[in-house]
Amino acid sequence: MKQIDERIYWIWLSQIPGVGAKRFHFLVEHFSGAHGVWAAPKGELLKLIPHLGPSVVNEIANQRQNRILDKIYESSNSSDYRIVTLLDGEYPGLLKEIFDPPPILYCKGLPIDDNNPALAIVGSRRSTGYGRQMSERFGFQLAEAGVTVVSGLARGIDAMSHYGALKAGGKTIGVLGCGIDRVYPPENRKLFQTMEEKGTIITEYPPGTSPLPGNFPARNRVISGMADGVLVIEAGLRSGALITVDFALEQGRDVYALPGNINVPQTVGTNKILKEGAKLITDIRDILEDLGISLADPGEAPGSVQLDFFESQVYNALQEGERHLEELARDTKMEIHKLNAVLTMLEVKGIVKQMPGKIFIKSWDA
Amino acid sequence: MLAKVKSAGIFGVEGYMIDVEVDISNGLPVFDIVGLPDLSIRESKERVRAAIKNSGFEFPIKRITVNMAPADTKKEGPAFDLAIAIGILTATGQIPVMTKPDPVFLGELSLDGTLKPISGVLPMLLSIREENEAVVLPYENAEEASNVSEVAVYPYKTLAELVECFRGKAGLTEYQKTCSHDAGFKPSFTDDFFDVKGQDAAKRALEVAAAGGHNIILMGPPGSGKTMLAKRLPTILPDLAYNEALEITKVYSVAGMLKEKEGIIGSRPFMSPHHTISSSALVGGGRIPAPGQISLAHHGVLFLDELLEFKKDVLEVLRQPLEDGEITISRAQGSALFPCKFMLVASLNPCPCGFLGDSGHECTCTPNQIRRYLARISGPLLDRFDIHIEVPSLSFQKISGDEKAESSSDIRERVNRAREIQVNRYKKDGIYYNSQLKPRQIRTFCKTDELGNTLLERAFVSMRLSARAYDRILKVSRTIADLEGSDNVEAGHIAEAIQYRSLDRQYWR
Repeated sequence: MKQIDERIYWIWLSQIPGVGAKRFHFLVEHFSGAHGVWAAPKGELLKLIPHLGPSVVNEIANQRQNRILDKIYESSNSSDYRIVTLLDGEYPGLLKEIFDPPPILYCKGLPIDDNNPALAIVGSRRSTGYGRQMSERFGFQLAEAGVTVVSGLARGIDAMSHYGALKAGGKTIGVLGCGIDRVYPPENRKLFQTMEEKGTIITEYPPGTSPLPGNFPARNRVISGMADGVLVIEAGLRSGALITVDFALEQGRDVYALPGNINVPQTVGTNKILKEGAKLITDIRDILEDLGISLADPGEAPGSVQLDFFESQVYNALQEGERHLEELARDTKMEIHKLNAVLTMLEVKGIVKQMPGKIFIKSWDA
Repeated sequence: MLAKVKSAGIFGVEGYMIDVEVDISNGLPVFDIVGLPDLSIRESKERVRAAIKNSGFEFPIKRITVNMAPADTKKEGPAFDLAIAIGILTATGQIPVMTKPDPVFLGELSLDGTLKPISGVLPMLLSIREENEAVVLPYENAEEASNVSEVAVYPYKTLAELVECFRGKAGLTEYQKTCSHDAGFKPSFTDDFFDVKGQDAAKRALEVAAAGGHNIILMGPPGSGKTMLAKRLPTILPDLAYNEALEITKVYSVAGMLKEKEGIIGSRPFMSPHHTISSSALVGGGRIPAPGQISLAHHGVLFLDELLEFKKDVLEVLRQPLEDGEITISRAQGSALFPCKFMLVASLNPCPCGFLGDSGHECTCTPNQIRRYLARISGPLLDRFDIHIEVPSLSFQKISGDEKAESSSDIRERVNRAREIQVNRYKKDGIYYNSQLKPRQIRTFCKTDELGNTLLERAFVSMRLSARAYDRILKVSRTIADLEGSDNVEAGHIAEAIQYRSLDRQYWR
């Protein structure tokens, strides 16, 4: 009974405006528990003004109403989401270890499985076709090898890593920068629905919180905190992904990065952290060996798909990376109408993918 | 004394006979015109009076009544000036009554007696050629009128000159056609695909579009050459047949857009209205119906640059004429039918900022913005486009390179051949080219082999094409097969056609 009550006080304290993870932990330590904060005489609270500032202290004092507590008790039994506190067994162990773990996590979907290693995949929202493809690939391969894929459910790299993990039927966790009842960005609605069924969505923000820009850097500390390592797919020079890297280093997590084209703005950041000592990834086994997972050498790609002469010519021209239709025509010296037909064949066979602007790229699993 | 002179009027692109009767009797000097004339005809009193006087003839100081029969149709325009003047001169006995030939008089008079050109001569003569053998008209209209071979053309520069011939023994002198178009038209264009460097994919797609008469959307970042490509489309359209040229000329004649020298319009028109255009300027309208841009693009190309900038209601009125190839404009005085069989070419940016898929610039749009932007084309309108392709912006090397490009006439030859195949195939079906195929006909004419069917099936699953793409891919495949001279639609043709459906792709899931 005492445990349940303390949980409610935790939720109450965590939802007070101005009380973030750091102040929360300070208060809980000072009053030995959230109930202590609730029950503390006003004089004791006022003594904390030098530490917390007057407005927060006032807010705490004002929020000590039974009415508010009742409401929280009601909402804590909501069927839409679960509330996991730092005191609960479901709370991820790795996240507990960071400097300022979120006291409360609002969760949807499958329970968080703490037994598997976890890896965060991050990258900019504005990504290249190559970047999106690689995120899908690594998401897939990590999940396939039993690693939980953690990411931020944003557009671009994040979304694709979740898709990859879901495709492999593996575990994946999306960390939001808004309330659990919000869908942001809106175009990911479908992904959110799938994640609720087959993955997990968590956030430290109470329901109804808008996706404010300030929430996302704090969210990133949760992403890196939940994982054994962070893989950066693509990051510009001022990308949020680099903030995640900073957190990861602070938290003592490994940092991996995918080398990028030096001419493209989206990969300046990844190349920079590689220079600074991040581990360069060209194969999924580069990560898996650090996690203590050994994967059998897949050998050469299975020769199940038969290519004719023209198809293999186009396939070879795409080995070096993405190509525009006109470039392909020049490289293969094929007539454009023939080339169009060949590309459709390759697309249907799943060997080549088309990006906006008639840009073609080899599928990663081909 | 009474005189009767023949003239003609026009409504829409159809002409009709008008009898101009002039009666001169004693009484107070009055000049009356009856028979539902509009303002411009009532004003012709002044022009006729001055022209007769200034040409050295006598204007009777008597009671003049002009009747224009049939009296129940409204008439407008200055084309009856000449007929009225001739009527007055005949009624006063200044010129003899002309019986053989009994010509139709058309022409506007200026105050000094000069004959000025009028619009709509060709459609008038085409409508009345059965019951008439001769026409007298201003010199500038002669070349245009000479296209109607059943009617003898007698052109004059001034009223005095005309009267001289009436009185003289030589009679009227018939106009001789300056050039013959029986052999068809050798089109000459200032633009040529020869000038377009690179963009082979877009050129090929335009070739397919031209060969099958398919409407096409060009998508690409600003400055990628969409307009340049579209402008050159008329140069690869099949050679103009004589009757097609006549139909185009009819519309231009009515619109008063025919230049003096060109008796007939020998090249396919290219209309590119600005996106602020109103719906009645686009499809035609006005109190007295005038042809709109779509009719002026008859047998040619209507190019809508920046399709999404056009007002939504303006785009929606295009749907019916696109389907029917003609537009009926109904007004209180009756309805006019204008032809509008045109190829629709539209250009648009792939996203609000324009740079989606461009290698040189970064697109700053969110997927939601892009979706909202493209959703501005309504589904039914999008259905009218068989082909959509992406036009990339070219690197400097490609523009400045000296790669040899194919010339328009080479491409046109292939298009001509493909059209010929289509005309022969559809002889019994009342259509001329592949884009006109109805769903039922697609099942008959675009049958493909098993390989092609499997490919289509797999493509739909793996590329998530929409269902409305199905028929269009088959139609375009048929055209590709025709370009190759192949009787059957093969898998390769379908494979190529699938690449011409860019807007069906769902890049953002």
